[in-house]
Amino acid sequence: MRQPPMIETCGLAKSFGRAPAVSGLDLQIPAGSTFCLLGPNGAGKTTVVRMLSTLVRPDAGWARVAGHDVAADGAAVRREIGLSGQYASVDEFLTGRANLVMIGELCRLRRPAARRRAAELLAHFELEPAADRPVRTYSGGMRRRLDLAASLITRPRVLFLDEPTTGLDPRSRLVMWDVIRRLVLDGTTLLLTTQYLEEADQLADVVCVMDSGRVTAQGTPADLKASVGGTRLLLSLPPGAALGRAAAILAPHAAGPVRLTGGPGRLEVPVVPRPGIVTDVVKDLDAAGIPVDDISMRRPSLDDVFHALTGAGEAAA
Amino acid sequence: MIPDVASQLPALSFETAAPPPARTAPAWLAARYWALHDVWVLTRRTLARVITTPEQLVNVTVQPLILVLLFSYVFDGAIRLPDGGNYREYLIAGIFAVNMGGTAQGTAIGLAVDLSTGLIDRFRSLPMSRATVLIGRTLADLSLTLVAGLVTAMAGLAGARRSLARTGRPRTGAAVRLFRRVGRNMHRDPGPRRRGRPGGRADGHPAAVTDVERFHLGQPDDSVAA
Repeated sequence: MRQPPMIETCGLAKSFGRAPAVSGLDLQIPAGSTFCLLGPNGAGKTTVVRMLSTLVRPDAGWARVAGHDVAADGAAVRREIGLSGQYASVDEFLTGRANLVMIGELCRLRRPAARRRAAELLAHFELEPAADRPVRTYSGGMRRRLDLAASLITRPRVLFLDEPTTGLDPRSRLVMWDVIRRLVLDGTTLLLTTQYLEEADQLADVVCVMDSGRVTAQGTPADLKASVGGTRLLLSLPPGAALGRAAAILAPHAAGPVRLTGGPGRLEVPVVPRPGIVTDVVKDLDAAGIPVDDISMRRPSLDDVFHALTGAGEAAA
Repeated sequence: MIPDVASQLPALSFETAAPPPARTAPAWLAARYWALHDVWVLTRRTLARVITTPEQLVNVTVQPLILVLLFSYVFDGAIRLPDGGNYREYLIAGIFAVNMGGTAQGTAIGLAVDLSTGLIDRFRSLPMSRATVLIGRTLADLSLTLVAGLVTAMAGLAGARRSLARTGRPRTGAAVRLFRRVGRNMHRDPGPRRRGRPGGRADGHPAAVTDVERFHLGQPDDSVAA
């Protein structure tokens, strides 16, 4: 790679007491990309963000953000980053506008510039009608947008979003996603943490699945999906149907073993997608006198990746 | 169908973000300038909260008044000083102390709330000087304490006027009495430094202590002795 990565970590570790929160994390995030840390609660995602944004010191290893070491040159890192989400907040007793102006001034803008910037961001995030109300009267979605606006006062080259849509309703989540996509178009490097697979799928270039402080898988959403298996055909047969015989008929079409899945009369057949496969399967079953209630093709989702990876971790623990 | 929100949003430009401040001044001077600047911004922040939630002013206006009235009228006579004298002379100083303690508590609670809501994490991720979070809040709370002190002092002065009208002579303030007692004990100290002090009298009293003061300080309180 000719260009150095915008975020780079090597052996990054942090533990609280005796419990390791993050152990031996190696990341390379190129400039302008969206990187997603995906994992269940307690996986260490937030700790990674807090280390990279200089809020906590790593116990071991090093990390560089925009070329500056987080431990040795925290002040330089803080000039390049924006942080928003679970743990960075705004003052509930101030108005939305006052919050943005204050943070602008703390970012060393002069007052008129801070005011202009606040007005611009309020308009951009559709917060103008509520701009002069105290933040404690805001809805969850409005507060998140204000929070994001606060982290964009000076144009950060690196943006950390810690669970930006946790607890939002579906419409607010879609608004948030659109906002985030636009930021990335501007060339901002984004590190996103989320518990939502769909969010990672929608936004991320690279997804890193974390569990118990370790990386369990990393790759593009497409790679990860491919790693847990290909397309499957899901069949639902009426109660009392001859499942064994059906499985035998399906076997020639399958790319792997035919499995019985949850619920009575349900079969899962791994297949290699090709034109006409569904009609072939139905024709064969029909010829054998086996009726079919329902049939569907399913492509692997990040859900499958997530369950396959984090489930294995739980079983080992 | 969800509308395409992105296309409706006004364009966001980053041109208004200021360039980094020109480095004409030496680095240490610039650092101090920005630290003061940050303190000022954060002090204004805490004071601005008073404007949006004026209830906070109750603590520094109504509460000292209630304390003054409570201890001067309701509990009057219930408290006796071991060496006689009127405890009201110590009252205002005591209420100053209570106010200071109360405001310190408010500062601590406010910081704890900022810490738990993540506001301090936000500040810590900004390129600002870090100590100013504490200094800014302390200064703002100190200015609120000044309001409380002013209210208490005015209540005390109003009370003193009433008591002056009743007894016909000014009561010595607690602080003045305290200093005088300290002074008396000091001039009785036969240390070598005091001996032969210019202007001192033959018996070792500094010239500054007048007979009138000796009368006030040296005589036991007649009313208690009786």
